[in-house]
Amino acid sequence: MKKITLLIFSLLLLVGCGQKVVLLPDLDGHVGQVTVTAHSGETVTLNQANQTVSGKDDVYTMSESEVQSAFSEALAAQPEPTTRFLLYFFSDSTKLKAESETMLSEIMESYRTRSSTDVSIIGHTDTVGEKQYNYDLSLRRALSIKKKLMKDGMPADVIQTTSHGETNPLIPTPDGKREPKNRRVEVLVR
Amino acid sequence: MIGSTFFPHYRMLIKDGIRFFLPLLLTVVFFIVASTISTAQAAEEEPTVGSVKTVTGTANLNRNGQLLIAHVGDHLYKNDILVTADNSSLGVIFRDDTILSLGSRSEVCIDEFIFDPAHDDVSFVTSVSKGTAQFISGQIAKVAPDKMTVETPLSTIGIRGTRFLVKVD
Repeated sequence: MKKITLLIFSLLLLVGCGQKVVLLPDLDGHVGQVTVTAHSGETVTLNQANQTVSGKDDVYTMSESEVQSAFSEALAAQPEPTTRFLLYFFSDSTKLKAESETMLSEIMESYRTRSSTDVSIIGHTDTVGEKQYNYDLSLRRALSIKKKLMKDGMPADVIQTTSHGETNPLIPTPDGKREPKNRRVEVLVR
Repeated sequence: MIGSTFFPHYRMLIKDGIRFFLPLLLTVVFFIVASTISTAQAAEEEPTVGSVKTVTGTANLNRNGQLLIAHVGDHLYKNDILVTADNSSLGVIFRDDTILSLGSRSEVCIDEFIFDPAHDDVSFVTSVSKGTAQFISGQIAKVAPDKMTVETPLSTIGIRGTRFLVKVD
């Protein structure tokens, strides 16, 4: 009897165990792609707005109102995306360009209005000079910005500083190329 | 001086004492330093993976079996399970700028999160065990699309830089 109850119970669980995956347009309107691979092996690819796969392979397009009614809470809880600031430097220097200096107050404002506790400061360089030297220069740039923001009242424990050196250029260039746009610090306020 | 004149073996005793206690002292100092360093390393090994940005109703973070009430600003760590009650929701942002928001009666576990793009080391796995969730993928899905997956009881979702919804009954 116990076994039968257990069997019925597990069958009920299986029936209840359904799922839906819905592809939405990105925040900029572009429609990306997701693949949904069932543990039994079948793969369904979604690449159109509101395209939905229910269970293993039942594919259809949800209307806007269906999406809203099924997912309103999760959609309403969506936080504001990360704000990104780019600060530019003089060549081989931790000295900020004048137009970037004014951006520090915008960063502080964004930090306060968003009640952020997670700010990343990422240093970069162009590809002129040795890799290791550029790694250090890019770290020095990031640390100089950290110091300025801390002076303005940002606590150290919300800041994460990293250095990408010349490995992550904004404008991809061959090695040894002077590129002012790559001499930068990115500040991400989450 | 008198001591050493009348009891010359005192000096020996002091020498022996140093010989015995100095290594002991050094050992103790070594262990204190070593334990401080390993604590510091342990703290470094547990980096924040993101933070809580929105909460309505009651949302919790299940951290190592301990149920903590989620507040805006709380830091998130690998292996945290995000849990929401009835009529509740939760929104978080990860270090790679992925946005995740949950509707009520939902549960999502942060199984893995490595974000070190300067060394080409990224990996992001979460599992939605029940409820509703919205994902807006960030930099990990952009730089290495096969390194971000979302698991459900029925399937694995692969992401090519995008926004999607999941509902698990």
